[in-house]
Amino acid sequence: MKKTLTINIGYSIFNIDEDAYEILNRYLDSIKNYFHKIDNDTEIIKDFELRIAENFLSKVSTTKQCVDLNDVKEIIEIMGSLDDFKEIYDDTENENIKEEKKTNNKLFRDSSNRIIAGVCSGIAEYFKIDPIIVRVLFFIAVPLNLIVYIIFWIGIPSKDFDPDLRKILYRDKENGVIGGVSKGLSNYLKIDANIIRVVFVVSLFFGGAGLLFYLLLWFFTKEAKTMGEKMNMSGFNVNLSNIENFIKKKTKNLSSP
Amino acid sequence: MSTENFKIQIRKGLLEFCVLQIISKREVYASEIIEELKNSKIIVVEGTVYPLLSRLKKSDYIKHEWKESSQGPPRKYYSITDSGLEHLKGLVVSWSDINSSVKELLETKK
Repeated sequence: MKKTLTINIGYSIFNIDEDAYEILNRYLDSIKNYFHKIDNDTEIIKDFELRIAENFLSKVSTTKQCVDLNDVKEIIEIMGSLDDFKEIYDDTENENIKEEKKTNNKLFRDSSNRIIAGVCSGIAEYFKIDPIIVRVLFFIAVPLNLIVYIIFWIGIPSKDFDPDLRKILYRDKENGVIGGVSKGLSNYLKIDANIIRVVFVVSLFFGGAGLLFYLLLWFFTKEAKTMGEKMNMSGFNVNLSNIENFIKKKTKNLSSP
Repeated sequence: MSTENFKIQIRKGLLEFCVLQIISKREVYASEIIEELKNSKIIVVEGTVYPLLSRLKKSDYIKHEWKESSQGPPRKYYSITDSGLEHLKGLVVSWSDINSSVKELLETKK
């Protein structure tokens, strides 16, 4: 059994499996991001959606009422992923990268993702790390950093960042031992979870800073619950081999629960 | 330059020319254009055509019209404009120039 969603794409309505939806959504987002420079009236993305709808229409019937992961994989194969477009449109891509570099070299307060004024989140964006890590570090050394925080608040202009391009630190409770903090960190940093666990345990014998760090991370991070959050944990790039791996993992989980 | 890379570069250069050529013959919708391009192995994935169509429309070389379809949602039918025809004429001339020069190069031996 699977949960399904109802989507409206290219003026048609479909039922779609949750996992298939996540992939499709990511795919469309990646295209939107890629073409946003030349597609200011969203015509390209609408053409994509129309074509996808046309294809889905031929996939569903009274006996198969739902669009599934394989349908989505198939249409992405037909339409092509970003790697394929890069062959043809590398000029626009170079421009995007240049612009990205320009904005990255400057420190902004992040108004799209803030708790107080977006200082921690802005610093995190600058170093391309998760804001939670910066927040925890700030929190540990509150009195001193409060001054630093306020100076930054006054001194740095703010700006909206695209939240989708960021890798996010979640707790991975499914595969965790206590709260899933270590496993979450390991997904994020791509290190073996056991190494992180050992570091946490060892730190207990040296003043217990690790324990405080652990609890703070537990407190600040969200548990990865939805399919999308689980994919964000380790940073998911839409291309065929990734989708293939994702489907393989899903089917493996089903057969060995 | 590998053969594969060579093919990519050639395709890239010719895509606009081929799409305009197809649209100039008759009113077509995107899937038909894609079908023809696939048959002649100009493109491999469909997604590459949509940005091009959008660009050609912005330069006023082509226009589109919505038409009902018997199966599924309405379709966008593309047709060429006068300035598009003009542009295509120029492209045809330059293509045959290049084509004959390359042919000449290939045929001259020593």
